[in-house]
Amino acid sequence: MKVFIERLNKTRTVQFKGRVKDLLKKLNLNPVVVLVVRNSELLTEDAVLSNADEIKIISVVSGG
Amino acid sequence: MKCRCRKKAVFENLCKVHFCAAIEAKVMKTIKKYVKPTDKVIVAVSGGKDSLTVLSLVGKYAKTIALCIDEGIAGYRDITIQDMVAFCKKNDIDYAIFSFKDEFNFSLDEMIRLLKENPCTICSAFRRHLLNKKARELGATLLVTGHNMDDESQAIMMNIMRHQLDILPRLGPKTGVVKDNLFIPRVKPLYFVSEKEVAAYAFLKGFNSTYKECPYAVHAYRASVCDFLNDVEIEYHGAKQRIINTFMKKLPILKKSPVKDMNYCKKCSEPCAGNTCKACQLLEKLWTS
Repeated sequence: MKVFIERLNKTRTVQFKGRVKDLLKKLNLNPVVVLVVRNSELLTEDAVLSNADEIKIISVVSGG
Repeated sequence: MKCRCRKKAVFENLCKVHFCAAIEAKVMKTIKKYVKPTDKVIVAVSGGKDSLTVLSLVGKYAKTIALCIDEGIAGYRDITIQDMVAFCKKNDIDYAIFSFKDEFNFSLDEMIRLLKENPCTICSAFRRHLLNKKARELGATLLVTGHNMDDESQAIMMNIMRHQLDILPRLGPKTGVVKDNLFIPRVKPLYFVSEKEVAAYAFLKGFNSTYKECPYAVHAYRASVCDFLNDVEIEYHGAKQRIINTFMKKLPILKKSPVKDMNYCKKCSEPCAGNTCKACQLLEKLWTS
């Protein structure tokens, strides 16, 4: 699975299938401060991901 | 997860349509409570997701102008301003940009190099000064900002932890305790909307806002409080909402606290707490540095 983390401007490749909330735990990301997007669609925390997905993790915290 | 309408949920248990409608209803409720139809509303816009969202929603209620302050932070503000200008042009919204460099002869980057002060202290003093002054010159009766529930719960906690109790009455969805012709009251329509909700709304509406971090944000006390509250929110969901709810219950009592009369800066005549406003104090240091 390719995961682009906006705040770091980096793409990571991880082996994962499961729910969004578990991916965030695996990546040590706080679900309160991120949105998770797949194919331009916003995903809820219980959405199911496959290892072939390309995910974008958007930071909700303002930069200023 | 599905929305009550059976469509796929995109935020908690709401689909795109019902989520956006819920946010709009919440914001409109705040706008209608604090903004009169006769108000001349100016919206402070940086180009970030919060200010673009509040500009979009206030624009549905009243004709408005976007007011942008360019502090002069290289690699940051120049980029967010591009997003602001693009948004205003796309949505046919008038805008005005004023810069620290033009108004004070120094960019924020230059000020920080010359002064031995916390960057956020310098930035906030000049930005607030300029927002109030320019909003007034543009004929505003109200200045709207994009502060959201997260910003406000942080502000409440920061002032409590610093024991700055005299500042608490000035907070709230409509700021200001003393009425004065030179001081433009501020309204925060996103007061009851969480930062995550604003981000989700902006994403779903396609508001293009480049993610950039202010290079000086690491110096902010607020950054520590923000991280703390976000960590608490994981374990105790709704903590920020409850801070706001508690504060709103006590705000009427806080606003009855004795207040100092408004003073006017002896240098620039702008309203301030002391004899000289913070902006003029810092400008004096800049010119003598």
